Amino acid sequence: MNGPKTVIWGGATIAVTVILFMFLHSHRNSRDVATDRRSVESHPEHTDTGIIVERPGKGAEQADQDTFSARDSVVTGGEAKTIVPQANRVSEAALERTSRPSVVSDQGITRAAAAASSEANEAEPVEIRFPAPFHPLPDNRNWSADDAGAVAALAKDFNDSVMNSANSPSDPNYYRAWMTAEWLANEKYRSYFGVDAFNALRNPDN
Amino acid sequence: MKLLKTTLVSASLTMLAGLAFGQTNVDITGSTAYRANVYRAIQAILNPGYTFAYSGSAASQAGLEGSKFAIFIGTLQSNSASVRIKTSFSGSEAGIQAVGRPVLIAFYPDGQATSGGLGTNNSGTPVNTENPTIDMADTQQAASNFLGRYRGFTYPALTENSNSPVGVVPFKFYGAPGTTVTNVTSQMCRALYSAQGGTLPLSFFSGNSGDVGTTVFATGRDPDSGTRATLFAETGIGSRTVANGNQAPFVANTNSDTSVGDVITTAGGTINHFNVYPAGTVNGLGYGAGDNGYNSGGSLAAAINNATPAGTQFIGYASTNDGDGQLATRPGHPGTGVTELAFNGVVLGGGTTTTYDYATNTNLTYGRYTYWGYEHMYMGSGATGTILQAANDIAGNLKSSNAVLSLSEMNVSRGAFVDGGTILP
Repeated sequence: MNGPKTVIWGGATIAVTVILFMFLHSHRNSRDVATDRRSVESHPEHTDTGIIVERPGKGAEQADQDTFSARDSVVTGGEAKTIVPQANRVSEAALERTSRPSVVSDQGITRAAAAASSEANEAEPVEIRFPAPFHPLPDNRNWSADDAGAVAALAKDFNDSVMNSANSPSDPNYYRAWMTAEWLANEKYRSYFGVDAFNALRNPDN
Repeated sequence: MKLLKTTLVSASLTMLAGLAFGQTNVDITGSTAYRANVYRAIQAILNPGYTFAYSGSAASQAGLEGSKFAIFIGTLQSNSASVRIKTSFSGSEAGIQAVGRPVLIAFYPDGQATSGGLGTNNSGTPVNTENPTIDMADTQQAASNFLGRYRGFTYPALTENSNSPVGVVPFKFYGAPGTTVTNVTSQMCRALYSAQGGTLPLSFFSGNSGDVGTTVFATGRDPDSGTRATLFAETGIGSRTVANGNQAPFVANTNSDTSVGDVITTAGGTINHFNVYPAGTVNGLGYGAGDNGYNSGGSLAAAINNATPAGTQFIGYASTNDGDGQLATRPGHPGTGVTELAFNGVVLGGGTTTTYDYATNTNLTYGRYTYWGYEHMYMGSGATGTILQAANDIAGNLKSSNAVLSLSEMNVSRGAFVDGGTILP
């Protein structure tokens, strides 16, 4: 049973990574990357042109029935609305660093996308979670450009940690490496920027 | 005549040896909280016969261990290399900044007068400046502001010594004589140092409506302090968060309270009034009023050991090294003496003697008490050869013998040594 599970987790993780990269690469200033807990209440999705759309009124039951995959990056239902990018208070350079995760290389993304497409139909629903450094900076703290740089450094540490532990998303260690690195990234984020900032990521409506 | 010749030859050989091998400066900065332990480690790694001088006023081991500045001249036991080990302690984060950038900071000059025995005390504040290469830090570098870009400068990642973390460093809250506050929680810290400008009504601590009219003032360290960074990480303020809550005690209402020099830094007197801690400059960076604070845990702890004005109470935080000496329960304490406050309901205890061993404190070693951190040694790019050897010797000695308590004596840990991180068995 480990084989199919591994493939499912790998496929799902790849899909998440691909979507995260595609979105962040093309919308550095956009606020609604966070899909974390919000994915239950409303399901932000990304078109292949990178525009974020959200299907309002989607309950947990419906959300659980969805499979979050590369194929789902096209709007398939509901009344779509565009999330207007929020004005940012941090430097462009810092955001550039924050917004370009390199968990997989460009070539790796191509391969991962192909793999995700073929596996998507079989993937179990998964909770979509991103480490804190990949979320937009919450409003309840005065962020300096230097702070944003520190967040970017945490994101880079996350990427390096995952890639140092597993060579590719198909590696059985990849999921474990992701979870470990995510835990550490969240611990550091809370330590450096405080519980209020961290909790705001978990409660984006605050 | 023969004696004169022998003396001249001996002196010449000594000079030649000095020219041939030289003396290497090993400049250490950083944590005031750990300086006592660092001094013990330095004394342990040098061959007998070394000479030293320090800024402390008392000609004693305690005088040395409370010193901000010191110089030791001797040879390493490990490889007989001649060294001048100099110290300039001004805070963990300041040390990271000074080693990383690097920044010239005060050290005793090479020609500083030294002596054996108890050393030369009361040697003052040096005018000479040098670039430090070693930093003792109460936090990881990443928890400080001085990694990457910060306020116009880029700080590189420093190298952590292979023996680091060298141990654990515990901290406490202390209350001024007569303080009835017994406990400080993380929520209270967030209110005091982040949201409420350093003051809260006593009723917030006591739950007694009759205490509404009494004000509790809280003081703290400047942003270059690892003690502060650890507290901010532990309580959820965030180690990189700007504080706006440091209050300062003053002696008389004859000034505008805008000069750091007017803030009380000694024990045993009477506080006239409180005001927000004045703005100041640390290692070339300016910090605003209330964000700035004491540059030494020793000075802060001493300041708490003063009588407070009517209707006020006064609290603050320091390492056990810096604060326990002011405890009313410590024999020989100056002034009336301070009281230890519980942190999140737990009294750490201990510290009533100079030889108290925190490794025996099960509140600490089993995770019930949580205001503590790991002590790190970071090194700059200049730490090579004899400097690296001396750094390795000091860190190794701290880790094996002279830490406040060693990692092996802890039955709990924080994952990946993250400051303020989750403590697990």
